Formats: sequence, C-alpha cells, structure tokens
Amino acid sequence: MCILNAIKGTSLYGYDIVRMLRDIDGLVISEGTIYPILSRLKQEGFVRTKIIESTEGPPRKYYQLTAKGEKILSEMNNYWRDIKAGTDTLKGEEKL
Amino acid sequence: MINLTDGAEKRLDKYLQEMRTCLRDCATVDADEVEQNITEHIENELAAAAEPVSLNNLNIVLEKLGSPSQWLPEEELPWWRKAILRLRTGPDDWRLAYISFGVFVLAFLAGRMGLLVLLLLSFVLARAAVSEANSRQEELGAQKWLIYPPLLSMYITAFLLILLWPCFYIAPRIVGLLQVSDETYALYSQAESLLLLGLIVGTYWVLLGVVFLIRPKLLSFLIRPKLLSFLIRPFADKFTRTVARVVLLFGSGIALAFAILFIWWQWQYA
Repeated sequence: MCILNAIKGTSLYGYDIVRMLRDIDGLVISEGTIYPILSRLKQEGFVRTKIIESTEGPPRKYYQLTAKGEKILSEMNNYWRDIKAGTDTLKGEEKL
Repeated sequence: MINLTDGAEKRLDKYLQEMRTCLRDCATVDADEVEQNITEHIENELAAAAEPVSLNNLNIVLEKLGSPSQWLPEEELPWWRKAILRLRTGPDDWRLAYISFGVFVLAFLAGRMGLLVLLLLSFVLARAAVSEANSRQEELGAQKWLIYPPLLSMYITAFLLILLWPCFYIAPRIVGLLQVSDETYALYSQAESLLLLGLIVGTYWVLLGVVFLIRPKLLSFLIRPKLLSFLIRPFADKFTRTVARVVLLFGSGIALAFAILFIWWQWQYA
C-alpha cells in the first residue's frame, strides 16, 4: 500500500521509491524487499513501467500506477481509513 | 559501473548469486528485473563513495538491502525451498518431522541394503517427533503428513509379519514334516497341504486374538510393564482389543472352514 501510494499520480524510479519509504519513521523494512514487491505488482497489473533516459547514467525504469492499481489502492486506502477510525474511537474511549 | 576492491567484488558476486538462487523459482517475481533494480540500487548508494569501493562500504549497503532469502513471503516459495527453510529456521519440533520424512524417502533410494536400516531410523525419528509433541502437550497438526508415512510403513509391516509369519515359516515346515514322516506321501497332495496350512494359520490367529484379548493380565504376569513399554511400544498400544477381536473372529472362521474342508478331504480321498 505504501508503494502504491508513493507512485500515485506520478512516475518514480525504483531507487527513489526505496528512498521515500526508508524516510518514513516507524516503517521497518529491508530495502531489498521493495524490489520483488514492485516486480509482483507489475506482474499482477497494478503498476507498469516505462524506460526514461537519464542524465546521470543508463536509462532508468520508472513505475506508475495502472487503472487496476488505482482501483485497488482506493480500496486499500478506504480500508485503512476505516481501521484507523476504529482505532481512534478506542483511543477516545480510553480517555473517558 | 563502479570500481570495487577485490574483496568487495567477490562479496557482491556472492550476494547476487544468492539473490538469483532465491528468486529463480518464484513464479510471481521477474528475477531479471529485480536483479537489475538491485544492481542499480547498489550503484546509486555507492555513487558518492571513494573508489575503489571497500568491502566495508559495500557491506553497509548490502545489510540495508537485507538477505535475499527474506525478500519473498514463504507461501510464494516452491515446496522444496519451504521444506529447507522450515528445516533451517523452523522450530525444533518440525525439524525432527522433516528429517524423519527425508530419511524415509532416502530409504527407497538407498537400495536393498540401506532400505531396512533407513526405514528403522526414520521410524525412530518419527516416534521421537511424536514424543516431543506429546511432551509439549501439542497436537501434531500438519506435521502428521511427514510423520505418519514412516510410522505407518513400520506398523503395517509389523502387523502383517505378526499375522502371516506362520505362512512363510512354521506351516510349510509342519506340512513338510508330515509329508516326510508319512510314507504315504502321495496322500498329502498339494491341495491337502494348502488346507493344512489354512488350518494352522487360522488356529494361530485364534491364539493371537486370545493372547491380545487377555494381554493386560497376561503381560502383568509375564513381563514387567516398563520393559514391555520399552520393547514393543507402540505396537502393543496399537493392537487394541477391537483389533484382537477381529483377528480372533477371522482366525476362528478360517480355522473352522479349513478344518471342515480338511476332514471332508480326508473322508473323500483318504
């Protein structure tokens, strides 16, 4: 879900996605895990890639959401929002 | 491409090889794509490092990437890698089950000489796995698929041996003795010997059934219970009163039928 949100509305280089995710506090993940997830998301049709020339070296592969990816991301975000709302309710009850 | 020291280059080659090994059998991941991404990631991370890049600097990057063996969820691994992973990292209670099943499979590949030894070994390991689970008061769960084949192979073999050994040993000798001792050899035809064999086996099953039905009283009288447990468990445990009754019933039926047939044969042809 974090990966899909990171590339929502834009195209990102794989390495840049990793850098974005590692900057999130509390998200403990081996950086290498992200690349197989990207590959799997591509195989399942949630993301697609395009090769763009780079000024810093060889051409780079950029990842962007497909329509299917946007749909599943929307569902995941809604689900996450519901979970968070439920958890917040519990926190409110604790204070009482 | 970045320049690496010899040590770093060897380390990188080893890491990439490990990654290929881990990813090659996973259907949901494009191994070439991941390898390309990882290589680019390493190059980007080390772009600012002084060249040739040292082993220490490379190791910092590889540690952040993590071990390739942990990149894929277990359910996406092929069955044989799941087995190795469980054996290597799983809890101790599963290791015995895997080793037991491994030895069981190996027994059939080892040829005639190794078959019995390895089957016995797999059986002992399977029993140990069962005891371990019992001592922790845990259910065997999915482990049973690994533990039951070695156990059942020995239980069934032992059960058949207990039931049928007279067919292969005692009965033919008795029939042979009768034929040799009796000068009217021709009277004991092949069919007659077969009837006698059936009678002996049936009688033996009757005796076997009776012995196992009165087993608790008989064994407490003949053998110390602890010694019995050590020697013949779990076979004795599996030989329940129901099984004993079935053996007794079949034995009675067979002995009676063959006795009638034998008498009829004698009366008819003797």
